[in-house]
Amino acid sequence: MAKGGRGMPSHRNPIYMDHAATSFPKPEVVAEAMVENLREFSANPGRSGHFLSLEASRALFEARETVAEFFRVDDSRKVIFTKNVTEALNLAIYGLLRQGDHVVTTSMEHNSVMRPLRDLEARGMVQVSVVPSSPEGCADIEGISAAVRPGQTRLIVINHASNVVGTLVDIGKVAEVKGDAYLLVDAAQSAGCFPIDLSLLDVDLFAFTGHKALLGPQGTGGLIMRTGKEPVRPLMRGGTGSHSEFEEQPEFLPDKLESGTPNGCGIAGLAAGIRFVKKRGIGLIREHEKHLTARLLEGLMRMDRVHVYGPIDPERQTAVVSINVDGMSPSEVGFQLDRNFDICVRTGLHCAPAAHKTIGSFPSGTVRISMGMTNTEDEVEEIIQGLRWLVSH
Amino acid sequence: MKAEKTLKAGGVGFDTIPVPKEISSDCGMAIMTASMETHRVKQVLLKSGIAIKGMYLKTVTGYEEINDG
Repeated sequence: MAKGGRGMPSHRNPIYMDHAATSFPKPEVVAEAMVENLREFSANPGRSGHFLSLEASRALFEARETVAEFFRVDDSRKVIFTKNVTEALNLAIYGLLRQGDHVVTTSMEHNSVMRPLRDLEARGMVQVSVVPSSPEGCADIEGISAAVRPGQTRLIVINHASNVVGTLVDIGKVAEVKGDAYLLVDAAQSAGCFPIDLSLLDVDLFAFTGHKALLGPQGTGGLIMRTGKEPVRPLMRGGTGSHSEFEEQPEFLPDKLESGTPNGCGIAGLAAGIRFVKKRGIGLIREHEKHLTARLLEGLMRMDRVHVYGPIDPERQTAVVSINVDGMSPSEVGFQLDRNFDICVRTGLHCAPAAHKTIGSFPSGTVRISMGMTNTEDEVEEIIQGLRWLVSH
Repeated sequence: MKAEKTLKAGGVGFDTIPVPKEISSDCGMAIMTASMETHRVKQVLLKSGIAIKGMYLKTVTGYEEINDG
């Protein structure tokens, strides 16, 4: 893997530690599934009666069933495919909220949650209560409970794991305090690297992305509904291949919330990624990532001038670690790691300004090291050595 | 799609066709089977919790809705 794009030859393979942004590389089976879809049957599913359309329909249906089974959802019609988790969150937020509703959320949320909420708030449509999380990024369950206004709070939105410091949220505990409100979980950072069983969790709306730990391509994601009767209005209306004699959007799922031609090729890739994760075993993936996180934290904590944020505990976080180096800006650190060591990390605010305010790294942000299934102990060792070199020069 | 999967698993002979325009203007699909298999198809589908929207018998004059118990 040469850095040919920059015109600079690489003397070794890049070490990719930006899995929180997107996973790389993808398993071969993902590309294979996408190429097969494109080559063999990328006809329009459900719109025609011919063989190719049927094959496309079957592939789409099977992908829906694969997602449903992976998250333990009883009916695959409750799985709504979107182009990413941002769309899924927008669909849930804009689709559910009405004039006068109250929303409760935390200070660790991503802009894909905060921007829709702040937009609705600015337009005078809803009131938003942001419950501050601890400096480690831990959700304040009692605070959330206190913020819930019976009869007025319509929605609680919370991330399953922070994209800045990886802190995991106990979704079960949040569900216990939700009252009559709907609970929307942003699982962008957890789906595929942390066990999730929706049949055991009282989550009303579950938003996930396809291109991170689920190992699918960019352009995939979805929203899963608990009962299918949640009153979510469509974000888009149009052709659904059903009820075509009517000019009104159908009321049944998934058609109601999926209009237009789906990303068949991408969804085929997503299904292949999920099957790969399932085969590897989410338990094994989680153990591997915890192990890497432990090694990384161990190395980081021994270094002077390196400040580590978050719970600093592999049990309480995903494989996402944010740091800063005294005397260097995050972007400088990231640049040096990239240029001198071919290590890919992400610097800055990671689209979560409030999270950085919570952990104390606003406005310059942090260096975020996020690992995935494909990372190794040797790579962890390399980044530690690289940082050691940086802090001593 | 689910009906297709269930019938295949149940070893029932069928074909998947576009819904005949005489029945609905939906762009949807329908299961076509020999008239003697109708009862078996119904059983297999209902057993799997699949709701049947309608059943029709093709005659020389068109499609007649089947209303049995």
